[in-house]
Amino acid sequence: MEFRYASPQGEITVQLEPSEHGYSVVVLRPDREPVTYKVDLRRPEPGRVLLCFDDHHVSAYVARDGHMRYVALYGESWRLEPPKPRGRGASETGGGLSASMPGKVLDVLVSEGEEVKAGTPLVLLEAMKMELRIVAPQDGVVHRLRVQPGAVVAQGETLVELR
Amino acid sequence: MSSTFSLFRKILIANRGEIAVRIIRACQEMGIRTVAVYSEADAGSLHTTLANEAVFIGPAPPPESYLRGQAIIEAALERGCDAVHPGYGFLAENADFAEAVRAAGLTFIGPGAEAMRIMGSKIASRRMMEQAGVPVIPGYHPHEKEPDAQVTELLAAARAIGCPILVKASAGGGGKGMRIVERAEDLPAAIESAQREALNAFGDPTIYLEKLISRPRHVEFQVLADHHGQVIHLFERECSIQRRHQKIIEETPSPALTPELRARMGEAAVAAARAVNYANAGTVEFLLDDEGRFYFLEMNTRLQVEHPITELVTGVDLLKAQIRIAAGRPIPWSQENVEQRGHAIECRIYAEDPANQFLPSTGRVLRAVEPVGPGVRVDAGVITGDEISIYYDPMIAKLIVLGEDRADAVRKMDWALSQYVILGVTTNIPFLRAVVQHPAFVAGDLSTDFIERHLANWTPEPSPIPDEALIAGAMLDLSGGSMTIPPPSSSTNGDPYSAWNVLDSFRIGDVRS
Repeated sequence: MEFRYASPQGEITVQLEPSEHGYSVVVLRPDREPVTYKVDLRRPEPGRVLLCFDDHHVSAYVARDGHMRYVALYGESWRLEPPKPRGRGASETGGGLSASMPGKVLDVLVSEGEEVKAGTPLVLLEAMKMELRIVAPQDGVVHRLRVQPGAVVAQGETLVELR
Repeated sequence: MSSTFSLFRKILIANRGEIAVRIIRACQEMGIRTVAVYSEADAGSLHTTLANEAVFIGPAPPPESYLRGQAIIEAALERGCDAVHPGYGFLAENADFAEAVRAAGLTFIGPGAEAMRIMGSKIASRRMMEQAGVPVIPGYHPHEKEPDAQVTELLAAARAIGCPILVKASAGGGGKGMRIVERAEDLPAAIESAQREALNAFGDPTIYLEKLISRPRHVEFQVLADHHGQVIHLFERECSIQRRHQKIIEETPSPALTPELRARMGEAAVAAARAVNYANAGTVEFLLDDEGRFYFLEMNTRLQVEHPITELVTGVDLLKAQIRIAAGRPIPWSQENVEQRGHAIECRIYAEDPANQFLPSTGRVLRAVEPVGPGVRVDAGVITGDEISIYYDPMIAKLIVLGEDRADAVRKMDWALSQYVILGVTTNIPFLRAVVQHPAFVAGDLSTDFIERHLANWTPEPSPIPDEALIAGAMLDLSGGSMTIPPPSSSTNGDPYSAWNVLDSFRIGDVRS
C-alpha cells in the first residue's frame, strides 16, 4: 500500500508493507533519499496511535475530516492532505465536499441521486462577501445533500456527499 | 461559609461556553440545581448537557438570544429559579438587567446596579476615584469653551502634568485627534492641529490632556465585598501580555510588585470598591508605570475571565464565594488570613490562525485532549466533536497552571501547552508557546506592548513535517479512518471515513494494546 501527501516541497509518498513485526515503511520525499523504517503499531485508545520503532516509540493523535488528515505529535500538530485527486476510485476519494471557509449557502444546484461530471457546480456559497462555487472533483452521484439554501456553514462542514 | 443550607435551590446561568460550565460545576458541588440557556448554535453544547435543565432562548446572534434579558428572566421564573448568574460578557455588566432580575424577585449574583452604573462610566468612575483618594491618570479637561482660550488653559495644565503627554479629542474615538507629545515646545502646535482634526471629525474642537504612561504594566486586584460591610482583596493579577488590547496570558503574583507596593495597591482597590458600596466579586484594574506609580483604569463589576489564577494561589473558590455573598453570607476571612502561595499562569487558547493574521478559525473540533498533571487546570467550553461557530468569542479553553514559583510555573505552562492536543481547528497554541519561551517573558520583563515589542512579526515556523507524522497519517489512511474516534452526532451519518462504515478487515500491526 502507498499513500501520497502534498507538501510545499512536492509530493511525499509513504509505502507500507506488512512485515514480521508490524510494518516496513518507506518515506519518499522529493528533496531527500528514501528512508526505511521498521514500525510496529499499537492503538492504546481510539484516535491515538503508538508508533514503535526499534529504539523508541512515538505517541500521536490522529483525526480525519473529509480529505484532511490531522496528526499531533511532539507537541505540535500537522495537516496532511492528499495531492489533488487524479481520477481515483470513488471508494478512495469519494465522500464529503466541505466548505473551504465559513459562510452562507446561497443555492444548491443539484439534487440527491443526480449524476454529475467532474467540474459540475454543486453548491453556491457566500463567504466574507465572496461567492464561491463548490464543484464536483470527479464524476459521481449525489448521494446526500447536507445543506439547504440559506444555511450558515462553518469551515470544513460537509455540504454534499458524492459517491 | 461551609454550610450550603438555605443558599439557593436553583440558579439560571445567563451565559454559554466555559464560564457557564464553570458556574454549573460550582453549583453542582454546592448541591444547587442549574438551568442553562442556549441559542440555536449551542444546541447540545457542553454547558447545556451539564446543567439539570436547558432552555432555548433564540437564534445564534447574541442580540436574539444571550442578550435577551427579559426572555432570560422569564425562563428563570418559569423554571422556578431563585437566582441568576450572568457570568462575564453578554449581560454581566448591564445594570438594567441586574435591576430587572431583582424586580422579578430573583437574586442577581453580582453587585448592585448603582455600582455597575458608576463603574461603567469613564467620567463618573474617575470622579468617584479621585474623591476616594485612588490615584487616577493625571489629566485635564478644559473649562474654557473657546478654542484659543482652551490652548492657553491647556498649556498651563500641561506644565503641571509633564511630558510625555497625550492630546485627545473629548468627543473622540478611533484615535482621531489624538497626539503624543514628547517635548513641551511641541505642545501648542499639537493642540491646535488636534483641535482642527477634532472639529472636522466630531464637530467639537474640545481637547483634553492625559499623562502618557510609557510601557505600563496592567495589574489588577481581585476584590470581594459582602453585604455586611466587609471588603477584602485577593491580591493581584498581572495581565500585561495582550494582543490588540485583548489579554492572552495572565499571572499572579506580578513579578513587578514588592510587598509594600502590593499592600498599597490592595488598599486602593478596597477603597475603590468601598466608594461605590460594592458587594460581590469585582476587579479593580490599574496601570503600573516603571517607577512603581499606579493609576486606576477601571473596575470590572463581574467575575473576570482570568479568575482561576487567583483561585489557585489563594485557595478561594470565587464562584462559590459569589454565590454565598449573593445569598447574604458574610465573607469568612479577614484580609490578614488570605495569602498567596505559589505562582499561577493562565493562557487563553483561541481558535485563531497565527499564520493568517490571527483571524478566527471555525470548524469542528475533531479531537481535544486536555493536559493533565499536578497543578494543571483546564476550564474548557469546547470538547471533542463541538463546533466553533462564527457567532461567539473564539476562546476554546483557558489553560491554568500552578507552580512552586514563577520559573516552575513558566516551565509547567510550556509543558502543558505542548500536551494540549486540538485537531480540526487551528489554534494560537504555537504563539502562546513562543511567548512563554521568550527570554523577556521568562525574565518577567512585561509591559502591555510586550507583543508589539518582541513578537510583532511572529509567524509559525514552517517546520517540515516529520516522518513520524507522515507514518501516523499513512497508518490512519490504511485503517480507512477506523482508528479515529467516531465523529459525534450529525457528522457521523454518511461520513465515508466513519468507523461504522468501514469493514475493518485488514491486519494492522499488533492490536493487543
